[in-house]
Amino acid sequence: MDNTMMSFIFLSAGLFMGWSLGANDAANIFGTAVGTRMVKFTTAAIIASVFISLGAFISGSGASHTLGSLGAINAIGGSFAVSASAAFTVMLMTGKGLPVSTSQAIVGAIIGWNIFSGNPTDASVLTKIASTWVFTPILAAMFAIVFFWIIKVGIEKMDVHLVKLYKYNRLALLLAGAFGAYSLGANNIANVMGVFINVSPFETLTLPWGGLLTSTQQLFLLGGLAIAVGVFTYSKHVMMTVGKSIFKLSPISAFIVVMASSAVLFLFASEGLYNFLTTRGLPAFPLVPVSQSQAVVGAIMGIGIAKGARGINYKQLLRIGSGWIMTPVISLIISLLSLYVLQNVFLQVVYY
Amino acid sequence: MQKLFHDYNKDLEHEIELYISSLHKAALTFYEGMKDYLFENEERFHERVHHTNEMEREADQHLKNLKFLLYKYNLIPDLSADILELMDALDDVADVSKAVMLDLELEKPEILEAYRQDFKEIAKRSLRCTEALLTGVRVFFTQIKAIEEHVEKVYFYEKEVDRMEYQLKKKIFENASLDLAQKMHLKEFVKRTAALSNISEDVALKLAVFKFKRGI
Repeated sequence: MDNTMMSFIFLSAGLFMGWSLGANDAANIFGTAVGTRMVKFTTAAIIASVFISLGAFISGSGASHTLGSLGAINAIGGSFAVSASAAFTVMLMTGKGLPVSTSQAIVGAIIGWNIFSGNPTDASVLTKIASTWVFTPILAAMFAIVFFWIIKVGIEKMDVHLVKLYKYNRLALLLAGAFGAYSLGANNIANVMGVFINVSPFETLTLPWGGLLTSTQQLFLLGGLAIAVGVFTYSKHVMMTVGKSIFKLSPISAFIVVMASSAVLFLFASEGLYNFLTTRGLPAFPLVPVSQSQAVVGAIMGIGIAKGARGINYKQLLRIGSGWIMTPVISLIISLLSLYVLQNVFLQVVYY
Repeated sequence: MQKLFHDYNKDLEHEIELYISSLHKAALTFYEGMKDYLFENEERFHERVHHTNEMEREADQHLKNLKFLLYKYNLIPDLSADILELMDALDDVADVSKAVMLDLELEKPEILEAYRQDFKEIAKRSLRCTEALLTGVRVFFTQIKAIEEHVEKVYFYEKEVDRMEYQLKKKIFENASLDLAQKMHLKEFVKRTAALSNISEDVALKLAVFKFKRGI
């Protein structure tokens, strides 16, 4: 079969991963807003799709670089297997209505490739990534608590009419959702297309006005579009799980959750912030694809804590937490299996 | 195109304010109407009856409008059920004001001069009770922390009305010159005059509960 055709077949795994991300993670941005009926699903889906694509295209390279240093997949067959394994894992967990981490899924799958190909896994990079799995929900909870108190005091002092407050809240949810979608695209496009960067089938394109579209940018754009399709076709199912099942959120709390979780993702994706801090000799947040699901759950917990830790659905929390533990493990196992099948049954090169 | 950018939130805010205002006007007219009846200003009394009817109709229309806005545009999704319950309960203020005026016009109870001041005071306290409630409802939409103060005022005035109601009934039934039918008729009107304060207390109880649901 023609090499170009084969390349695009392999790329389909990444597109499927993008679709899974859209179906699962995008629900974390607007799930609370749609769940509290402040924003219609269609409005949320359109905003999410546009801004995820923009975030992926404009700011997606930082986190991708870190993922590449965890495991530099050097054959497109290997990229296909890794991406497909992660995507399948996400789909499996999404089917159970659990908000899972595509970041954890892809990391588990990449480690699977490292094991299969005999490449050592950089422990420091893995530690850096794994530590963010712990710090992300904690940081999101802290942001949520701070935002909660600022907004609570602000509302009490301002005496805004309830009807007007809801109008501003709706607008704030849309803006926060756009920011969240951009952060998701910037931070998580690495999970979708990061494994294909070294083996991209695209050539740099020269645009009519003289600009250049690099192969990485083309990959990210394609990934962004795949995410958009996922948002429209499957995210509504997961939207109702987040926010409603762990802790009952008011529309204002929904805004706080989105802002807190989006701020965390932005911190771990912003190359501008990273360069600003490092050039001044200050500690910087590593550019790592982090889990928006974890950030949202952390933010929701933060709200729960700020309100006195009453009414938190610990059973659902435990169920979600177990999903986070199972995800990288399941993804690693599926990755090993699929690499074996691809190499030995389909006779494809999965590593050099 | 104009409808796409129309601010329905502003319309709802406006309708809520107009509704509360029409209820307040109905309660005020009730009190003035009571005074006119007690002090035999017949022409003015009939005007007040007519005006109370108008205020009740106006209140009903504003209630219909705000219900429509709340449901059709889903402006306050999580609190709309509570707000509608509150607004529906408040409608009794206009209904009772109108009903008492109509009953006075129809039944023409003979209120002795000795009791006129008492009736007036009961009507005045009932009005104050309702005013405290309506202020509390306005505050529910803006300064949630200040609701308690107004709810307490409602309870205070309602207790005052209960006390005055009892004393007036006692005075009436101790009057040997009145026959039983007259006493029963007057007793009924004492009860109706005090009705606004009882309604206000019932609604204030709901307000006190809804206050907790308004947090972020």
